Amino acid sequence: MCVNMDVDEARRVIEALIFASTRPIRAEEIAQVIGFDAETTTALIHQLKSEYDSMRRGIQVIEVAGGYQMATRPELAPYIEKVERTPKGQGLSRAALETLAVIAYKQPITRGEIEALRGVRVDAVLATLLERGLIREVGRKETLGRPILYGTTPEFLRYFGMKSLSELPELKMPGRSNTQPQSG
Amino acid sequence: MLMNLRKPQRGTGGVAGSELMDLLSRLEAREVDILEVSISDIAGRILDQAAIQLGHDIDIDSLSELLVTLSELMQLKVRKLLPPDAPTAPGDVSSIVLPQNCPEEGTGTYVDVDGEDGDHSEELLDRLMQYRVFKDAAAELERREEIWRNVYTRAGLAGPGPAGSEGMHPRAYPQAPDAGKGDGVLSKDVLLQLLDELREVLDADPEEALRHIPFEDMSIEDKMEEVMAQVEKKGVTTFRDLFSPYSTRLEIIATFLAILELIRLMKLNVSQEERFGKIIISKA
Repeated sequence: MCVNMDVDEARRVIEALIFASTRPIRAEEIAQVIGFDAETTTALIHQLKSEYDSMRRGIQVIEVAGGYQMATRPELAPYIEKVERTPKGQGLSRAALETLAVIAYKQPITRGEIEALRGVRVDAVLATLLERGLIREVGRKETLGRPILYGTTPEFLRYFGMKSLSELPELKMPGRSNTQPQSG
Repeated sequence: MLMNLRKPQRGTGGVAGSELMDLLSRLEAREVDILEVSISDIAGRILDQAAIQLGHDIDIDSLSELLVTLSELMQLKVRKLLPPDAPTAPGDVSSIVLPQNCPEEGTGTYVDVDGEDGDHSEELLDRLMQYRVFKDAAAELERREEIWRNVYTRAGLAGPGPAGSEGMHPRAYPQAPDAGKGDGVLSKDVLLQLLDELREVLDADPEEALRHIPFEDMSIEDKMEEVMAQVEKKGVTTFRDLFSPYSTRLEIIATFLAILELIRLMKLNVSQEERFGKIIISKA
């Protein structure tokens, strides 16, 4: 691996790395490969991102789940779906989205706590969210019965196109301090 | 005075749902009193909408949640209506003292309850408010979902890894050559393809013609060793080639389980030359 590359070469390598990666690749990983410091690497990645944007390419560089990834633009989805044989998965139900919102903001949280907030049983919804990899068990609450605690996954961030949980919009709690999502 | 509620339109959680959310905001802002709200009217409208939607794509979850919220509003209203010293024993009505000018639904003045009941009302209202806030948050997530469902990435067929670090967007554009990333986890697509091929192996099983099944003693561990030996000898092989044409049904199953176990242990890699192509097995 060449660590003494010039900036032009580094740009090309960055593009290739992001393209080749099947998961969001972190700036530090790229920095390690090209031998540049993290700050310069991030600047170069953002330069590449802007180039794709300014040229209105069909591909964009997205920042998601703590890394960078190549992705198509949403408006081109109908064309991709003409050749893509895998059916587009169903979106989440309203109940699943609401449960997910509670988990995202209140994590780690037990099933009982979610149910107390939502007023309805959530076992089926939790099973769906677990199956789709959007939430996971993150531990047990040290209380009677040691109930399972749930939290969101990196897949949750990818699914909603977020860099991190800090991108969750601030909750508008009337009459009290706003709830900030916990990091994780 | 009854609230002037809007006429129902489409959607179970739609208009009646947003009407309810609107009502919760107004209750919190104290722009409206719970005693001015006709809960039966709202419930009626929600049920009317549900009836219209019957036979269509009815969202039972949303509907039931709306009704739960309504019942909590009703509880809130009841607490406001009842005097603070209401009897606790069921059926004991002798001590009920109706407040003066006990209001009928939506009219008159209400009894402002203090103490424990008042706290409980606040608690209820607080919970209802939180419910509304999370409904808003869910709407925001839905908006993001709508955008990101239309974004395709180059994620491979490999599913999310044990730490969730590796994986595909649920609607990712699958890439055939990366069927297995060597993380010991198979995606649903690859697994289905493996099962298809297993079915073909089983269908070609000569044992079908046999009239009795001999007792066989074999372990998955032994099969794992055999499979590894085969893969090491051949370097790269196909899934089908790992099954001897003379295998019994039990042997086929044992071999299949051994392959799965070796993939899980990251001793074998799984790949495809093209989508829906043959499953290729190599040493990890």
